[in-house]
Amino acid sequence: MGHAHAMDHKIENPGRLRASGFMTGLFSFFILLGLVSFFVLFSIDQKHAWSAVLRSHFYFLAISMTALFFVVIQWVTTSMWSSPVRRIAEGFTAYIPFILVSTLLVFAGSKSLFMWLDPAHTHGDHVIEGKLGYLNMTFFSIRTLIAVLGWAFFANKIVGASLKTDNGADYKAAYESNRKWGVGFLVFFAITFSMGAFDQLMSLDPHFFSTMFGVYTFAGAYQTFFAMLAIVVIMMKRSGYLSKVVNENHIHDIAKLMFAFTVFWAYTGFSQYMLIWYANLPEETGYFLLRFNEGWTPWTISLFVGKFLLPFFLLLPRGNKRSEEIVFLTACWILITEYFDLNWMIQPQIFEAGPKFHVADIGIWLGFFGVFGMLVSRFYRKNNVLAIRDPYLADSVFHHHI
Amino acid sequence: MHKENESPVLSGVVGFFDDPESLIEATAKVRDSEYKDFDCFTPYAVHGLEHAQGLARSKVPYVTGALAFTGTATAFAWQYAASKTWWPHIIGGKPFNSLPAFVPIMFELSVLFGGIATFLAMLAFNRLPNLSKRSFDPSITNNRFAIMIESPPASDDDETPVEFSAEKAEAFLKSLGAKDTRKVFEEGWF
Repeated sequence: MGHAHAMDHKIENPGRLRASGFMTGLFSFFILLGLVSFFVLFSIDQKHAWSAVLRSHFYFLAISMTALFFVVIQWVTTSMWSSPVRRIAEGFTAYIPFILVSTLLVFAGSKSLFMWLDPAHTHGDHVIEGKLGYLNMTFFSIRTLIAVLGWAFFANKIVGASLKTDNGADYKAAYESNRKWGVGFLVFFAITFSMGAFDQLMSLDPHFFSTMFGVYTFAGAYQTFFAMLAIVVIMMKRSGYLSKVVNENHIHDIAKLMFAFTVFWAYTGFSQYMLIWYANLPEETGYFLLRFNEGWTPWTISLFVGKFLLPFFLLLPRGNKRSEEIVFLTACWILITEYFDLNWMIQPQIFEAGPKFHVADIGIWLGFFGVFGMLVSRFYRKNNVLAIRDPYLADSVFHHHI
Repeated sequence: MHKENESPVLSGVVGFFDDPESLIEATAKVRDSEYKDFDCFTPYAVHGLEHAQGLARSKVPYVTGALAFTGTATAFAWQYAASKTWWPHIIGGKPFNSLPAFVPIMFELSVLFGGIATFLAMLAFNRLPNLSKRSFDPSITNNRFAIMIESPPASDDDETPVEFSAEKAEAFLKSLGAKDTRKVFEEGWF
């Protein structure tokens, strides 16, 4: 059915995002706010300030990297359903070069964050001393930089091939090139993303180890990516750019994936918890005992309720997944809960008694959000917001979904 | 067995089509016509046919959901009763009521209840198994697509009986592009 109809329809190129002074101004203001917030918080409590930087750094690292992961999956599988929204996800990867900057910020604050860098902590602790061959500043910075540079390289290669097709490059060549590089990226991503989660989040408690930590971080990040994708796609649809190509079936598909990774996040989180609870090994249980102490228990429970139960029931009915309003609001909520999730991984190692909040925490997040928004909107201003020559586009737009 | 002496009961009129596109087009017209009792027969699932037929969404997911959550609750109640009340044992130093250990079973029983409920609800909503009807033409399982306009059941009350003319229905199907039409008679048990 799709074929017969697809031939009759001509899809108009929505072109590039038209520059909006208000948007640029808003993002610039957020960046300024982030800088001010950092210096305010830094003057009050250095550790608090650096933990806020690490949290926001990883938040947008996770979204932009899972965006690239999503894009690669679409190329490698020559996916049809996603072709009207793939370019939007490709836009998120415009943030990846900035990860280099934010990683240098984390390096700058590493002395306040990572106790394995402090000889006073590590001396005489046999467990940590045994890990110092891996957990030391030299090796940490080398492998982190290799990962970040590799991500930027793959993003450039894969998204670059997609952008070239807009100017008339052969789509078949793009598919072949992206399949080859994409498969390489998937392997590289699996290793380096887990490594990033281990190094930058798990090593905050150098005694603790969990082989599921990488996949747990990924699950939350991928859920957040779909939330961000849903938000941007709905906004693009509402403002007319994608109104001709994105219909309720595409919103439904994105919401289904958002729902799936809501469940997957809970699944990995619970699996990690249950095995540690069951085996009861002291160096592992410490992580959860801390998060179930008096100060952190409410946070832990609200994380489970907020990041799993609430979106699960909101996205369960079919009608909700096809409603732009409900998907949009649920997606905004998921963006907030990812902040709570990352804070849950980071802050208990620094403030054992309970969560600490300062308005500047949000300011720093907004600063990173400003950079993300600035780079991503610049991408849409310089490139078409729709991969207009994608051979699957017509099929996807007029495809009948069940 | 078909009894020789009785005159056969007309169950409807069938029209055959060669491809799914023309079937969908014709089905939408039948849906909007005076004939309310009709069904489509295709050798494979045809996307978009349910819209052309004007079918409402299946209620199977609600049964699945309800039974899945029943499964969750059953698994918890069962394990709680077994390990706290009926046979309390200390295992690995864990409390009798150990929710984390119950969760995998709660998940599995949700899947089991939900799965079985889906299957049974599907059968029930489709009124299956149905041994009293048989395929009226082998070609609808091979290469042809059919619409069957059913004759309304003989009314046993004094409501205005619906006029059903097989010839008129056949002509209607022909006008929709059916390549071939014929009457179908009830054959009962085979």
